Amino acid sequence: MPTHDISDNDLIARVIAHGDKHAFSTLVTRHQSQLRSSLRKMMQGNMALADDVAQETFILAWKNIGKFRYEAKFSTWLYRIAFNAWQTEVRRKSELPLDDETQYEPAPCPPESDATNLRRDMEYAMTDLSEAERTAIIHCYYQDLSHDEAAYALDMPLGTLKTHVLRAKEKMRHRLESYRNDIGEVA
Amino acid sequence: MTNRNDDSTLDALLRADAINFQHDYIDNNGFSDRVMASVALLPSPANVTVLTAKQRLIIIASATLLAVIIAITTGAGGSFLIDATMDLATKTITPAVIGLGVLMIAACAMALSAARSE
Repeated sequence: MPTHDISDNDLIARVIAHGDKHAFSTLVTRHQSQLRSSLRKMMQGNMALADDVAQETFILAWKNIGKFRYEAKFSTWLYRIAFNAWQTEVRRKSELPLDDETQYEPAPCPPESDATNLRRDMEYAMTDLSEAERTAIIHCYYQDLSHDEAAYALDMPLGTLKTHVLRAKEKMRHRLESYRNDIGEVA
Repeated sequence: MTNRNDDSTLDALLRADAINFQHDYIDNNGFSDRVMASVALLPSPANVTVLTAKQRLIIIASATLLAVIIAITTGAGGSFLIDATMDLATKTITPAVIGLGVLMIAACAMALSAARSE
């Protein structure tokens, strides 16, 4: 049976029971795009670092797959490993600690009605967010995890996650509103 | 830009952007091969015995209990902790001192084990 037809859990069982590298390779191929996309978004486009962390995530997943208990989806478990690997990496490189309030400030763009600019608008709206708030938004919206799953992936209490999401959305609304006002004044 | 200060509007915008984001595909472009090249250097997870937190605690607690029983029964009698403290103060290595040492190491091991299982 070709491995691409097999569910994640069956592939994991093969890896745990037989150390099946082909099964693990299928898991890597299946999840690499979503994981790398999410990490790139968390790292605000730092593709090299995101790919390093993604690679480290899969290596850690291989080492620790015996601890996978099938209570969460494999992808959610991967996000949890990735988040921890990312925190370790940024601490090691002393770049951006999780709660660092330092923000990148992209130049405001002129208003465009084209829906294709939505991503840029959202990215602009997220510039005021702390790392914790940004990560919470990415997990809850862009990775489409439930609040419970996101709290598990980020290893934080559910209440804390919800607070981060609420604060993030408040900041985003404020940012977008002031942006709209700035554009209105220019116009 | 449209008025995006409303909560439901922001929610809708985030969800719309998320759908676009989820449809984006990053080409593998050798990524899986690089991961598997690193994995090839690692031991197979099938050969690694993974103990659950409960099993680890049972093993450590059993070993501790055994060490303490040995220390008490091979000691000269009396209060184990007092003997151990007195012996330690005079820098004399006795079964009671060893038992106390094992007890302290086991306590640290159990704390670490519990922390790791969090």
